[in-house]
Amino acid sequence: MRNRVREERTQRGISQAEIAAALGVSRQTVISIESGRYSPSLPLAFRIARFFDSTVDKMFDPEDEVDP
Amino acid sequence: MKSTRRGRLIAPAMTIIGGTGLAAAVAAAQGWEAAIPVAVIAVAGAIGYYAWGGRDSDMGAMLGQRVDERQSLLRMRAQSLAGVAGGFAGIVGYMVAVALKDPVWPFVLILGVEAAAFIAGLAIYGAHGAR
Repeated sequence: MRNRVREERTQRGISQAEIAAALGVSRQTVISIESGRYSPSLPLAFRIARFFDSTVDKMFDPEDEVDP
Repeated sequence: MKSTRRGRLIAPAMTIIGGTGLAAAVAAAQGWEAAIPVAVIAVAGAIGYYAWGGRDSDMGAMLGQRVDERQSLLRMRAQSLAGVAGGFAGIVGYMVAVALKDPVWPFVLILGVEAAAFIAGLAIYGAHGAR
């Protein structure tokens, strides 16, 4: 699933380690989400959206699947 | 994610307990000299697991008992694959034992435990209704 996590993170100058700590997940999981290889659970998707002061539907695009 | 020392000690402790049991079995069957390499390998494995459990990687998180949701899913899939492979090996072993007229009870035991664990899993994790 494509998303705007990397875009939003880099715009704000936040490292993957920092967002991982804030979301309570590993840095590897942030990398997997950013690359579209892992689709987060609904609770994590909401945490990500709230972290960026956004909404889930703005952060994630389910119509635009990334090939694994 | 932060690692707790207790969580990081689980894999090494299990390795020491398993290694001690195996070393005791080898000592009972072949003498204590034969058990020394088994004990040394178990201790080395425990030290290795402890070190690996502190690394910033998926495997380190699993060994350090600090997995997040993706790593938990990854571990579950790997365990599922290992279970399927174990069942397949049990079936092949059973067929080979029958063909060679060797005792089949170890393979019956493995397959029985696999089947019982699968049924228990359905019951525990709610096959009759989402939880």
